[in-house]
Amino acid sequence: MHAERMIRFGRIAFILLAVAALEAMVRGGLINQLVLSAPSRIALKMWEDVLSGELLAHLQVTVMEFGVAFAIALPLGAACGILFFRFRLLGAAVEPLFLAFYAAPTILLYPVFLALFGLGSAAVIGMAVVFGTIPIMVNVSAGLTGVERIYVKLGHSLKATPGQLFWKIMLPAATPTIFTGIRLGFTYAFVGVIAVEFLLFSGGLGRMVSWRYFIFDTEGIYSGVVLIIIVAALANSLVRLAEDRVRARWT
Amino acid sequence: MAAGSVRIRLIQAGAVAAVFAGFMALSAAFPFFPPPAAVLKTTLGLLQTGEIYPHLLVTLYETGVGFAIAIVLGIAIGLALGGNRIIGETFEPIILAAYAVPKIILLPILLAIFGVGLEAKIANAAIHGVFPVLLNTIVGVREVNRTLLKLGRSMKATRWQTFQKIVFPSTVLPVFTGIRIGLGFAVLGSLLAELFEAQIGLGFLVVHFYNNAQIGEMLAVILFVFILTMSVNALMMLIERSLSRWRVTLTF
Amino acid sequence: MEGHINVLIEVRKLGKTFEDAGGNTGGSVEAIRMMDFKVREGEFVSIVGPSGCGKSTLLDIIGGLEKPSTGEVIVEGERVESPHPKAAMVFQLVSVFPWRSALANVEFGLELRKVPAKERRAKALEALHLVGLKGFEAKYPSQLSGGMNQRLAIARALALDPDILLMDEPFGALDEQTRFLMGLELLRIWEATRKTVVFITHSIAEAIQLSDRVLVMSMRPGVIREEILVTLPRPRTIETLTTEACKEIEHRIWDILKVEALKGLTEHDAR
Repeated sequence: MHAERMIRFGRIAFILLAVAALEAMVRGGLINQLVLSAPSRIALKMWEDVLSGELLAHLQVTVMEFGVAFAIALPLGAACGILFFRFRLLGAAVEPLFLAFYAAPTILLYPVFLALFGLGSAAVIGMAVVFGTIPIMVNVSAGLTGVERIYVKLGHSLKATPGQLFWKIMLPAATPTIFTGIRLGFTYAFVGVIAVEFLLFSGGLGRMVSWRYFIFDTEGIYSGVVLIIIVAALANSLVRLAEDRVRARWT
Repeated sequence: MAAGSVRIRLIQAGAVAAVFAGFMALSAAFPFFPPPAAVLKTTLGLLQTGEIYPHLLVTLYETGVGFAIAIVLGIAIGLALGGNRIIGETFEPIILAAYAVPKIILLPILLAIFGVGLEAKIANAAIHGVFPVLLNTIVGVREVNRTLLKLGRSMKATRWQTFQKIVFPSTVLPVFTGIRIGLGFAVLGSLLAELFEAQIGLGFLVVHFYNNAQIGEMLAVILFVFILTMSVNALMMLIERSLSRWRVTLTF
Repeated sequence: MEGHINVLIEVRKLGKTFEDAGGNTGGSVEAIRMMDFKVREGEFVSIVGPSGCGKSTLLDIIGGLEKPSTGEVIVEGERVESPHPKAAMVFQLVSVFPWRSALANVEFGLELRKVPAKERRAKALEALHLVGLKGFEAKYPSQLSGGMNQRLAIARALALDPDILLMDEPFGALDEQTRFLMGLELLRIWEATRKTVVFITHSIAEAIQLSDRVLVMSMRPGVIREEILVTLPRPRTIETLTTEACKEIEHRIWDILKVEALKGLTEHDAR
């Protein structure tokens, strides 16, 4: 469609113009080089980081920490969610407490994990598990309780056993909501990993940026920031793609 | 209904008790964690001695100013993006993508621009707080009931009248929700900046107590922040509930 | 002649009161009261009534999804305590699963009964053919119209080879033209398979178009005000429905319903 192409063009044009403007401003001396490096130099530094293997080393740590955290958060959140669905009273009582918890700056708990596990990946993983579990738990519970009544009625009219009811009706019906929860858990766990790495200097992509701040490597900071944005955007769009697929099939 | 809510309260009380017991067990296993009762006492102590107040005020100041900026920017940009389909579709994916990025990594940039004073914290609070306000404003404007807009057009309402009598009441609730969530994020923004590089503020205080091995005091500050933010959030949810009579989704 | 035909469904002194229904009625709602009627094998019986009169509750009890407060329902000689294997239900709301293909949807009931795959597929294909959806096996509900999805729900019921079809306003969500055409479709299927059908509707025209007998229900608490035989000849075409005889039946039913429906307008509904 004509409008769609215009929009895509507008988006790219906007970004390109912004980058070009920044480049001009830095080269022209309008912006201090300690504050912002020229985009061209940032790009160069990014390329260096990729080639030198620095990016890979930090990325490995982050991916490992994230992987472990998500591998714990997913079953944990799902189990709690199913529990709160099965025992509705418990769910109705406890879920508002978790949602209230959302409003508080959970990251403040990271020194607790630091004290428990010492400086290292375990602290990062611990914190990220907390971040990732809650949306999964809330969405599994909401998804299962929100299944259309008519599907359950149909199941009963066909004399479905409780097992058949759960696996063939409730779980498929709840899948779109559950998948959204998984995407949110994915995102929050990732943000949590980077944030704690950043604050603890413990390793990984977050540490790459905060360390470079302390050694005044301005180009390095921006390189790290852009690389993290790319990694985050890529990972997120993949998950969103999966979610869209699921939603298309399910509604 | 009343019987059910009593049982719910009981379960909630039980949940809090369970958390309390959990922390007691943690404290027993790791002696450097003071037991929850002691932490509560310390919290009250900090409040009494006034040690916490300068830091509290600074954090509140950073959050307040930062969030004020966030609200203005968020609503202004949200109105623009929500009201115009083309502009909205152009920029919205960029904004949604921003949610997935850990904004904490922007801190070094902010510190480079603003230095190590309060300005960087204010900026961070603003950056964190603007997104919920922005997105909720967009959604609020978009979801204005088309039928009501048609009604306004058929009665020849002016642009201002349309805004004042149809668009505004429709968007009050979603924008308020955005503000409630955004406030929490703005607090988070201030605290993150203080945790990383600061001389004063509640975030700084947490790090300070940790470095001095004053774990009890550290937990006390964390507890205080949690109670404060959760209370403000609960209050705002009450206001939100009373505002929901403005909700325009009618079902027959 | 009718006396020798099997009575498949017998409703005896049926009553249902819902406790703790909330709202203004202060607790309990009597949905139906002292219902008595029989349905014979091969009959097409419609139940017409104003909204909220308890028709769905009645069908749910016959279908074994609700327990009566008083009285009983006998299906094929047995008292109904749970869904009868020889009775299949079709609901008003869309009840096909969006995540399954048309074929997989029709197979669903058979799947629950652990019918082996090859047999399932064969029966499902046959049912799809019967409702006129041959060739649509691989399509998904989102790709089908409302009418087609309801045909899917009917196919699912037919695949179980039931003796009885219990249908709760199956065409209620469709527009008028589609409704009429679906009615003709249903008659075609019924004449081909000669199932016993209990059909709930609030449309008088639909009831007359389809059935042998119409039971007119009162407002809540629902009782059967009158049983009316629809002696119009079959097959029922658009011409049949414009005859004097048809109009007369329509007026008779409307006279009864008018009174009941007005009660519904003035009553304060506890919703």
